[in-house]
Amino acid sequence: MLGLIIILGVVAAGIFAPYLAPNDPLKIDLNQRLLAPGKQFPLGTDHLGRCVLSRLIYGIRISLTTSFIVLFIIMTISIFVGTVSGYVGGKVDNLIMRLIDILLAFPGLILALAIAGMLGPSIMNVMIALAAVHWVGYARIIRGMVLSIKEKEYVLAARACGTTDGKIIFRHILPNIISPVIVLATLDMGHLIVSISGLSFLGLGAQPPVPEWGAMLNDGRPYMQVAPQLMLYPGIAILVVVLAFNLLGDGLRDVFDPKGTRRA
Amino acid sequence: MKLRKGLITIITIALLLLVMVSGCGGKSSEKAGNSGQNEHKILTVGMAFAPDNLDPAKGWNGWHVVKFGMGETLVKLGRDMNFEPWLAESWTKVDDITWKIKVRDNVMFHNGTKVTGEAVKASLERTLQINERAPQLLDIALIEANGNEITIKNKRPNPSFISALADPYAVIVDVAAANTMGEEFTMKPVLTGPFKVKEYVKDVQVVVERNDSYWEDKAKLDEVAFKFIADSNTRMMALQAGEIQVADNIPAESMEAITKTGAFQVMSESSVRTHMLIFNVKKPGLDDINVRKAINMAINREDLGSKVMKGSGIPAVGPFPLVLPFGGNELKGYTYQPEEAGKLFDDAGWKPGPDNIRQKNGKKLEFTVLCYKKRPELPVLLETIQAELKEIGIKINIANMENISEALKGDFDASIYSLNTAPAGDPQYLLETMFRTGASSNFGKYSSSNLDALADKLKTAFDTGERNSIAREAQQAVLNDAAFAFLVYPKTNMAVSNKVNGIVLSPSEFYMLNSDVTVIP
Amino acid sequence: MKGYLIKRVMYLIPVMLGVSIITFALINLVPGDPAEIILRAGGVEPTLEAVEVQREELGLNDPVYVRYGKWLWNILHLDFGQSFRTGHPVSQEIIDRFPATLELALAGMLVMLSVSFPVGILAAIYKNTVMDHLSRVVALLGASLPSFWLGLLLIYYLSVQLGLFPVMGRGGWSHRMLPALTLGLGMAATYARLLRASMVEVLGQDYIQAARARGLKERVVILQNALKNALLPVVTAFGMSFGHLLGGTVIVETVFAWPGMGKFLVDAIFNRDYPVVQGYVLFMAFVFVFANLAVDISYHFLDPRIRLERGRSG
Repeated sequence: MLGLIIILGVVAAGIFAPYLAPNDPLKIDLNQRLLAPGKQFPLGTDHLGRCVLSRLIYGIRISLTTSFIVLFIIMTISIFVGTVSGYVGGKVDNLIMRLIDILLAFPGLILALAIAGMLGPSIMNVMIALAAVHWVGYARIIRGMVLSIKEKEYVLAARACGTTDGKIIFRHILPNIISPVIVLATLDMGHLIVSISGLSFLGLGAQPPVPEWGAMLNDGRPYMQVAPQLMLYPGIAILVVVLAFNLLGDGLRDVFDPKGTRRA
Repeated sequence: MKLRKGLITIITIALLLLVMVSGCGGKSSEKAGNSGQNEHKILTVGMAFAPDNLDPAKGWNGWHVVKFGMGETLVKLGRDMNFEPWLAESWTKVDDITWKIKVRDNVMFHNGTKVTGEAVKASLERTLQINERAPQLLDIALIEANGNEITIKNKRPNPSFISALADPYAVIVDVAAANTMGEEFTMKPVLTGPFKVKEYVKDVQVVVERNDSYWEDKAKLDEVAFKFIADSNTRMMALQAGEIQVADNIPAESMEAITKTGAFQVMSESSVRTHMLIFNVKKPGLDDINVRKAINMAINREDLGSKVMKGSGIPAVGPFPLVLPFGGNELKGYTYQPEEAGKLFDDAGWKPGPDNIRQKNGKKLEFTVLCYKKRPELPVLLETIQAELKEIGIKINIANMENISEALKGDFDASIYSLNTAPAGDPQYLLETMFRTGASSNFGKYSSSNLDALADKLKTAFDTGERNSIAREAQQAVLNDAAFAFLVYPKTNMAVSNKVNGIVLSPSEFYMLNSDVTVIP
Repeated sequence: MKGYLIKRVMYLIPVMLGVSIITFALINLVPGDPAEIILRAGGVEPTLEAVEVQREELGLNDPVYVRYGKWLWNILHLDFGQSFRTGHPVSQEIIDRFPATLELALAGMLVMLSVSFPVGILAAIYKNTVMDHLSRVVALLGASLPSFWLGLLLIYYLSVQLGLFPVMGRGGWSHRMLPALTLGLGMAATYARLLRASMVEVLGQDYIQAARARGLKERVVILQNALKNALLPVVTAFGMSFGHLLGGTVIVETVFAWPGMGKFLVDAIFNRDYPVVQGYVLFMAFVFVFANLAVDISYHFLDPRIRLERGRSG
């Protein structure tokens, strides 16, 4: 519950960023570089005299929208692939499963890093890379769910009545997998946020002057001693949001999946 | 259960914040390195840049090898930019294209082989063959060796020949050893300096030890480790933690923190280096001189020098820093006038689009500018410029490169770059390596017949006054074409522990470790 | 056992083949013509003729399966191509840096084990006490803490402020400490919880009660009977998160300037040194696949009930 409250609060802060942020997050003021927290800049300024708090607030938009979009893409692909694989079965299923096995043979972060690296540094490419790597695990789980639902009596009954495959999928199968999938998604949201900011930290994701948290951490690193706030606050921001999503995911899992089945 | 979980989380976050905040006021520690090791004197140095390998003839490796106290050239550039004998005992100019150089008789390579005229000849020929800048700068037609004496004939009159010999690509190596060792030579080169390689791990460190058969005063230190720490912050922290006693390229922001501890001094010296923007003049948009001029006019160089670099940068005019006799004082450069820049754009037909980015015939003024972090001020300079250019309707994307010199050989729009403009105190160097059509470091493909002609003219001028005035003319030509944006002249700086003596900063940036450097226990 | 092993290894062949195809295809993600990229990397202006010559030389005009075949043939001979930047064989560059990364990964695992085991076991024994709740909170924090930030915090507080450890580089134990902590702590959190859950379940089993009833010492019961059985799910999970560990080394090496493969990869990405990126990915996939194989086999040893029928665990 607390997780949800934090998330809603953060989302609201992101939406109302222009009203909440005390300063322009992109405004460079060379006269006010590396200031300690104070009245005008509650969390101080960065190496270019930009307001750290404002950048953090605007950073919410970047982190949440990018990870949400990636999640959405992952879900779309994996639900499609998983359902097709599980429902159609046979050779198609076999083929898809082999592909999934192959993709799972790569350490995920490393493949994402390589894809993003090949495409070139940009937040868009990082999103593509993460989506390309992460759908696999979900597709496998969803396929498993579809397989078990397919054998349920009501599905068999529907099929016996001559219901079309499309109808069976949309009426009976998808509604049954959607809630566990949402739980998985929430659990993974935190993971995605960390991945995106991690890649930005390495310099592959958001490029200057975009106020992305991971990139801010990386930018602040050279000034660790002079202005430790540059390295502290973006990290705290990531931690709080990720923690909130993990809490929410934990809570949801308790509700939907009391046995605590773990995903691959 | 829910409630308890929530409560626990709140407590955790609170604790965490407490730890963060309370930690901020802590004190940094100072550990002295290597105390109690009177017998064995070791120094550890943190360097921003690493060589590709240790073969001085290849690329820029020579610069590192000379700094490491391993390699020596025939001629040394003094602090006042005068030439001093090093491996050469003396030299004379016979005529406009002929030089006689007497090599010292008492010099041995690290393997005990004597350095003869023949060996020097072989070494220079090897440099000419391997190094891409050398043929142009040395311009040697033939070398004859006779005992300790070599005679060198230039292809054309080459007034800057002696300074070209001081460039570290001309470090004298044992070519016979290089030939037999093959690839191993790049790890353990056989040279003449007061130190020789003990251990080399690429991109990690070079450890050198005293050369006990050195031809002059033997080194006071037994061993010096050069650690390559590209990240400036890590370098500073390593210094304060006592892991290294010397660190080069200090970010302006850290100077105060470092001197405040009282354990270090920051050495700072005007350098002959210039930070600049290189434009690829073949790229659509940047091929328009008005665009390049507008960019030049939108940059506030005063701010870059005094605020971004906290005074350790001097606003630039032309390519050569003001400390050089031919440096940019009398040149007409660009001043900060963003409104004029806008007007220039309007007149040239670059109109703001709906996103405020100027465009013309469908081409938007959006460029990717390369950057690198080994010089800590560059990313900050570029981000500042990014914001300044946004004001006049140019969008800049910054792409960070790990190895900028490689990246510049490739395809790019523009790049921030830092260059030692006259390492040997002579203007010819920059003209030949950077500005001349097709020159080895002319990354932006700048080409001007006017400039080429001036470079040719400089090549035949022996009179210093005349050379300086040609150099100024050449600089003005480059400025008029706005082929670059010269930003600031940075000071070189280095943080040195109070326990270290004898390190000398040179404006040329060639030298660092020498026999005199020592550590007080 | 032998049959299982053979089957398991045979299964790897198509997987590795697929892995190689994907790695081969990676280069196609690079915007632009590979011939042009290689020319530019070598500092040559890519004129039409030059590009054509380069294409011919690289065999880019061959059908894609021929190119793949040639590439695979080279890979099978351990020829991963040459680094654009250094000109050295990629395989050599990787092998040179592998020990550093391995050292880091092992040190990280050591941290993970030495933290997660005691915490997990104690939390299971003292279920629902303060100890258990505390471990839960720490686990949640650990799972949410980005490793790159943890690394920075450790450097700042322990190295810079307190001067306890060196801030960077590779060396003795003191150098290993912070990178290993950064790498190991996040994972330790997850494993402690996993081990706890598994232990709680096992401790509730009849045979444990029986062992207790026989009057065995509690320590013996827990360490000998319960732990061995509780390890199974942990070992499986470990195989899966080994990839996480490998990925983690990339970030940790960057933060601590640790001269391993991960830092090399990041540098290669920024240098657009594509053969290095490809070589690294392929190598890591190999390591990952074989680590999983090892996990499966050890699983086999731990639980004799499982025989041939067990599929892959990844």
